[in-house]
Amino acid sequence: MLLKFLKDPLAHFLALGLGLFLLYGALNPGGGAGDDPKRIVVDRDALLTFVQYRTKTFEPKLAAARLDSMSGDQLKRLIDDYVREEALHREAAALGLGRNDYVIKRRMIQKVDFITQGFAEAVVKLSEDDINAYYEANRKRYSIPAFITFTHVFFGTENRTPSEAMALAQAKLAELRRQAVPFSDAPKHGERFPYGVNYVERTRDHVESHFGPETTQALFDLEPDESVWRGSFLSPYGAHLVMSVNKNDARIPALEDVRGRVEADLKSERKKAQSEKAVKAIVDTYTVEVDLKGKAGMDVVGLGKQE
Amino acid sequence: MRKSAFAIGFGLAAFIAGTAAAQETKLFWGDTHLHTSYSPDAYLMQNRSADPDTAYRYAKGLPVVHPYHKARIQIGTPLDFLVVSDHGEFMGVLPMLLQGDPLVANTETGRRYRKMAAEGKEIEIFGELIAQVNKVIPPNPDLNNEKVNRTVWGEIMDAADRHNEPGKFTAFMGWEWSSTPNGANLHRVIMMRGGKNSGKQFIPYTSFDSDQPEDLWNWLEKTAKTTKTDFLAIPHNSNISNGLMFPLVDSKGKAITTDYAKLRMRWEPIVEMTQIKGDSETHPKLSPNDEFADYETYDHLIAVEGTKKQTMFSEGFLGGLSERDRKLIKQNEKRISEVGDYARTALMRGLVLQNRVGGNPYKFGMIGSTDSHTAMASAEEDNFHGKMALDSTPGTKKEDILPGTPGWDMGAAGLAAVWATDNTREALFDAMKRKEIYASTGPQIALRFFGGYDFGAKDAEARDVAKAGYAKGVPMGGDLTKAPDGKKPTFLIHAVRDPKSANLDRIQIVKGWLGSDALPKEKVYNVVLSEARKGGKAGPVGNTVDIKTGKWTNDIGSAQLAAVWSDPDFDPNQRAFYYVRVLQIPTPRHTLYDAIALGIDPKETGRPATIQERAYSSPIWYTP
Repeated sequence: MLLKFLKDPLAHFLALGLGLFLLYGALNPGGGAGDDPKRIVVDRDALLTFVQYRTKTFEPKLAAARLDSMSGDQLKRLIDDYVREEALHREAAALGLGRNDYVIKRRMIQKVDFITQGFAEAVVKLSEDDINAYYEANRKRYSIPAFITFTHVFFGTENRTPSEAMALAQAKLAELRRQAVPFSDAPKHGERFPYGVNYVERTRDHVESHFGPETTQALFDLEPDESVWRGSFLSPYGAHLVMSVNKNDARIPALEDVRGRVEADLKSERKKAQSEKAVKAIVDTYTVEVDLKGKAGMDVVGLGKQE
Repeated sequence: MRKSAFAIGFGLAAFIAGTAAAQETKLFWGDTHLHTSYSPDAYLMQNRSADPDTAYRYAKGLPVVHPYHKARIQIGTPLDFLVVSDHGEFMGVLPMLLQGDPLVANTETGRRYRKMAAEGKEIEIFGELIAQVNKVIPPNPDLNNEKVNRTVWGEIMDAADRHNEPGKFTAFMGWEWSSTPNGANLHRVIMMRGGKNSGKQFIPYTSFDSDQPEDLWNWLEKTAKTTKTDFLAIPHNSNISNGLMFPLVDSKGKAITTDYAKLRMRWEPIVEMTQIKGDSETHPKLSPNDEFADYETYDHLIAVEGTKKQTMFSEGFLGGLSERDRKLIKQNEKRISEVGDYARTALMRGLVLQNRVGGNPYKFGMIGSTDSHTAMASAEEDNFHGKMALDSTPGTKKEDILPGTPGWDMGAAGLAAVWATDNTREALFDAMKRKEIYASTGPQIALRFFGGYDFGAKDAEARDVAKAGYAKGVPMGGDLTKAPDGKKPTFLIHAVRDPKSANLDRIQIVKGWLGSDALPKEKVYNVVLSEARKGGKAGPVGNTVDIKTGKWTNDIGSAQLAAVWSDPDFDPNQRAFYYVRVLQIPTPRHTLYDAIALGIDPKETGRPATIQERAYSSPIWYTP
């Protein structure tokens, strides 16, 4: 019964109110603006708050020390500033200046939003079925991209033209094939590639940043074979001969392997939905009248005309 | 006698080098300094939603939502490790506060109100609340209680464990000790080698407990022993420390002793010297002959020159020297106000202290990190998401985010590079302790740096210079002892560009040494340039950036540079350190992209349109 009540959006609305109230109470024991609006009480708490917000440093002990170490003049100035701010704020509120100020409006909405989210989080509970269903519906999100393992022999284009590099590569290819050069001996041939010799279980993104898109596509298209040297491929840096020894296609892992992520994602989605529900419940307690015709006889179409 | 000493010395050096070289080291990139919505200043500056989970997801390369402008963003090149280091002070309290967490609301007043609610008076209560909701909500001292802090620290540790995948991605547990005595920045990030088993036995030490580094180190010592783990305290933003980050005296004003040096080096072997709030390598006033010294100079909160008393040699220090020495030193003394603010001068000061008191408290390795408060480890000029959530769009970066500091003054920097045997908490931590690490201002420039007595030009051409490097010398962060007769130290360097960034301009070596007059000196050497230059031996590389479009090409510079260099001014009797600085060709600063988007002149941003990003290695020290 209590649980059902807790899930009811209206309960959230009420809890919201309670939350705000607790909030206020916890932080302003004994405080209250219910008395004389023209009476400003400057107490230690008020000054500590003021000092901390001004310096944007929320260290009460430091603020207290700072406050205590102030000279008579400094303290007077601080109090004057505080009183000025408080008085003007109350005047503004009395004049209803906050009512149509969108910035203030947004800030208040934000505050209510956070509180709603907090309660939503408390209410969300996930069952095994929930997790399974979510995983099934969103399997693609957890997919592991394809990766390959290969080595290469390189001739750079920093000091020669691409066609010269390709020619050198072609000649080297014949040699590599003739001598059946194994994977581990690749470093003995060609020149030093900036980013290394072996690529072990590397994804597309990684390979593409070194070899460029066309060559990367070609590499991923190759069928791995430990005894074959292929080439030549051209990258932004030069010509390459490649021996590809392993390729793993993109796959979707089992739920057990990604359970942590699935749970976290589902929880956050549920939290969001609960928040939305609570907000809708709040909005629904208001009656809304839509009147597009305009006020005081002013014709909306005829700008500036008055009756 | 000399030969055997040499053999022992060499054997020792080889042993030290060999412990890492026994297994091959690999390069890992990360950020050791990041704030999420759990830090009160991040929260107040509009990061309400990007929590530690978001931080890890962004670092791993997943798309996430920016906490301020809500657009989808994604890192350019995923990182290998991350330290979420929210401020220990008031950690996570504000989100808990505004989410009505029972722990926070469970006060006496709260209980009384709950009773009223049970009596059916909710609507009345609610009405009153709405009328008061405009009031500014202050953080209450009651909220900084142990129970609250323990819960939030627990959440932070859980998030780290959730995202830690040994071998693939490392999530460290840590926090920031935010000591700011009299406005001087003495902040340190604390990172832990172990996991929750140790972490759950303590609450993060904060500047509420003490704002003096010595107290922090003593706490680390005690806690490491009792919880069976290890810590690193990493100072940063020395550039705004008012000369206090690398001082000549301790927190109580007494001259530094060997004990202080030992304690400091035990807990602070590395320094974060480049980040969003500026680059702390050196200052143009301190290094007037270094044409690249004025890089991302962040002057805010530094006292105007001439108003600070601290000089290279304070009165207390001079007191211990002979009359003749004092006269000499006074004659050469430079009244510079920022010696304790920058890494290069601090390293030099370390040599001075080693010579006079027998201990060097500033023998540190160097890294970069971001100190981002958006939970995004973003250090890419063309993909920069702000220091705070607030300064993340061209429009908002125009405004001041901290007093007198527009968002444009923030740099899109930096990152930490580590040569470790594996991507695990233990391997990365150990590599940081032995200083086999280096700093980058953002681009993932691969850098190998070794020092020894037997490197030859051929070693620079090897496929993997590390093989010869470890076999014949020590890596960055290491030490060379007295040179064998007639030999000079040789340095083997190989730098490779970031495939997604720009070509390299040059490799330099920065040398700092103690002259025979006991005064520290510095010199920057050009080791290798990417190509022949116009206008003399080491002229500028050029600039391919089109100011109107922000586009540039790699027609200048080189994809990789390598060399073996030996010190032409070597004196075997002088203490010295050497570190590498690698520069990229000019590329757009993030503010250039903003200026183009806003249709304004880049000069209006107050910052250069293009910059030469760089990497700084940890030094290799020569101690005769």
